[in-house]
Amino acid sequence: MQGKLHLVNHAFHAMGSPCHLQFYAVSRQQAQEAKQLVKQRLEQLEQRYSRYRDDSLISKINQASGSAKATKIDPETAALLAYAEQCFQESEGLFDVTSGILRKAWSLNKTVLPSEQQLKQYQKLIGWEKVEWNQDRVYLPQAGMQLDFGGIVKEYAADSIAQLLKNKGITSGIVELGGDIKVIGARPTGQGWPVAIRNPLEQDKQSLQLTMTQGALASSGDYERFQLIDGVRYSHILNPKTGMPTTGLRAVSILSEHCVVAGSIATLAMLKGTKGLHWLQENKLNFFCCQEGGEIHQQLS
Amino acid sequence: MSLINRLSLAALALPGIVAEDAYAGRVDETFSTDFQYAHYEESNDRMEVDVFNLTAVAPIGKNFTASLDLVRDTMSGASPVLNVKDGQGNVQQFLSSASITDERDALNASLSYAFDDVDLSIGGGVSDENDYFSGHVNAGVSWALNKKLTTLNLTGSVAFDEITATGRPEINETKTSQKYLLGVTQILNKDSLIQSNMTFAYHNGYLSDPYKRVYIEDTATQVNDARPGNKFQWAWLTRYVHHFKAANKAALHADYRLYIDDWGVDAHTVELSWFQPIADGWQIVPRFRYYTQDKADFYQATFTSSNLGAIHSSDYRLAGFGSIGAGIKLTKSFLMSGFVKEVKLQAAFDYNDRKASYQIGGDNSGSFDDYSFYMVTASINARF
Amino acid sequence: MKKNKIKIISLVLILAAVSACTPVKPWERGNLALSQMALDADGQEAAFRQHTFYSKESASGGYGGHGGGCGCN
Repeated sequence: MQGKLHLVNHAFHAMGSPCHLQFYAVSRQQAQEAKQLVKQRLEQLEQRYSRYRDDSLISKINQASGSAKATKIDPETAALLAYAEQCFQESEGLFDVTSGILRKAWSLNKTVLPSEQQLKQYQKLIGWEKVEWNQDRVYLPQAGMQLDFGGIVKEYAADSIAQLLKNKGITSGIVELGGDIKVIGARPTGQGWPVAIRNPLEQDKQSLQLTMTQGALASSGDYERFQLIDGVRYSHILNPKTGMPTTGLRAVSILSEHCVVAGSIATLAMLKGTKGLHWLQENKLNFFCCQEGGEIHQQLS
Repeated sequence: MSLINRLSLAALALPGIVAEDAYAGRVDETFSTDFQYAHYEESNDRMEVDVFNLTAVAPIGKNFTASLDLVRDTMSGASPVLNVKDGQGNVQQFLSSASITDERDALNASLSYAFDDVDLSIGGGVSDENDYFSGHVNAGVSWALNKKLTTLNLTGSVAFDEITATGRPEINETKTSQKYLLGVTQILNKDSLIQSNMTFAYHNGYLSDPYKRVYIEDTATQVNDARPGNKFQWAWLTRYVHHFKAANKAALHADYRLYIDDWGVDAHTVELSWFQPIADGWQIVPRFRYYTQDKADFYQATFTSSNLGAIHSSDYRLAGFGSIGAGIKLTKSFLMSGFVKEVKLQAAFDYNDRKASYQIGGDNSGSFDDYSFYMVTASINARF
Repeated sequence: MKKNKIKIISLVLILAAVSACTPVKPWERGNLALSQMALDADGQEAAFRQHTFYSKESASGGYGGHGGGCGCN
């Protein structure tokens, strides 16, 4: 209500990506408290779901695979599992949070394509339908199975932080975690925050500029993380059914109310490969994408 | 249910996420005060008015907003009393003497309560001058639907007036009015919106003007203005706004109002304004207005004994005429970071020419009551 | 009657306008929030203008406003 309304610009690193938070605070104290809350929440999420930490909840679940002992989970994790289930159903099995281990087949063989045998070995350990879970517990029946929330947590974090700051009385701001964006609220004048989607073909050029007063933007693509084998570009998004990286789309950006939903849809579109563009158009989604050959399509109604 | 809806539903189960549209309470958290000075002046040494207006709005708690509005009008100059016919049979307008200064004070207050998509408001006020007192109460509800793309408005008000007249001690009258508005505001697309309101008003009591008279030609006498004891008015206003990104984010406002009352007056009003932002917080707004009305059933410039009847008026405002107006407004907005968030300065000038011949389809009575007027306003608005 | 015809035409026009709407996505509301797009940007000036016009002309109504009277002529 009263006090100096000033713009706070906070750049930091979290979840393995460069992050940026912009918001209007009424006092230095509010700004500090907000930054602290954000830091705490992100640490909490990394603590629970980072596969790079041996002591995280997700690592504990993975270490207990095939051990006949289920791991106790909290309501938030249960809700994430329910969300993963919904994505699995919607994608007819393409979006599978157990498919993370396929990474190993591709990272071991950096210059050569993995053999069919190698892929088959890992595919035996994939399958969301095999996961046993309920509100209190989760169990991975085969040793070596892994749960990977990597495709969900960063976007969920953006939504969560935005909500946290809203609860703190911040009505104007925008959260960006490694390219995944969630708006807290429009700028004080009612104007939107300028957002740009990068051109996957020319890294330093912008493809699309928009202003957002609310909602979220999430992207998925191979322009940052990819492998070059024999001059062919392989994306880091792996199809659990074939074991191979997706082809067809190079990058997808989705606009939706929630970042976690936008992110899942972006990943799903990539997973659908050559059918991705048609799927996006058919479902009347708001997207921007770049096909393998470089053609750019968009549907922002 | 679409794909997005299904996924969104699942997402809502996540503890960190709350549905976007869910907020209860008022959106605007700011206090504001506005002060305006306005000057109105007619041609030919007729009426002149100075108006001072002070408004303050304050949020109270999470859901309430209160507002207070004070007005002081100071009026001086002559006004038309009646029309007479000169020796050549031409109608001439006769004005009152120009020595009187009248003051009017008004106070209006309102309280509104916002929750979910509904806004409720109640208000009331008084207006007091030496020969006229009016008190009113009003209530309204505003309901946002369809993801806030559609808003329905319903308001009602009742006013009770007491009328006296200087120089006519026998005038000690009352008048009651009821007004109702039903309206809808609809966002059409990202660049335009439309509002359409219908109002119905019913008036009962003393509706004549105690200072006006009519002239009876054949007897060369005058009698007092005498209008019906009731009046029904219907108006339908449609307002359209369109954004022009290419013109530096300019906006066109176009309004059309159709008016019909049971005294036989039909009127059309068209207003066009163009809001043009120029660099750095400046905005210039040229505007244009056209108005046309036909005369009331019981209006005549002058009467004869045979057509006088019980109801008769020669009031220039009930005649057939048209009015063309144009004006320009300049606004400068300063956004600040401190106790005061924004200060806006505004100034406007408008000129209006009222002529019987401007009426569309006019069988008007002639140019004897034509006049023009200009308005100047200047204001300062602050938000905290 | 004239009044009924007017009412029917108005209803049809409003429905036509409403059906011509395209849904506006949350990130597209920026333009609509600009002050030059607001219908009620300057309440005091609007009140003064409306008061002036209804004191000099027969027509009134459509805009809302508080509904009090005065002896202005």
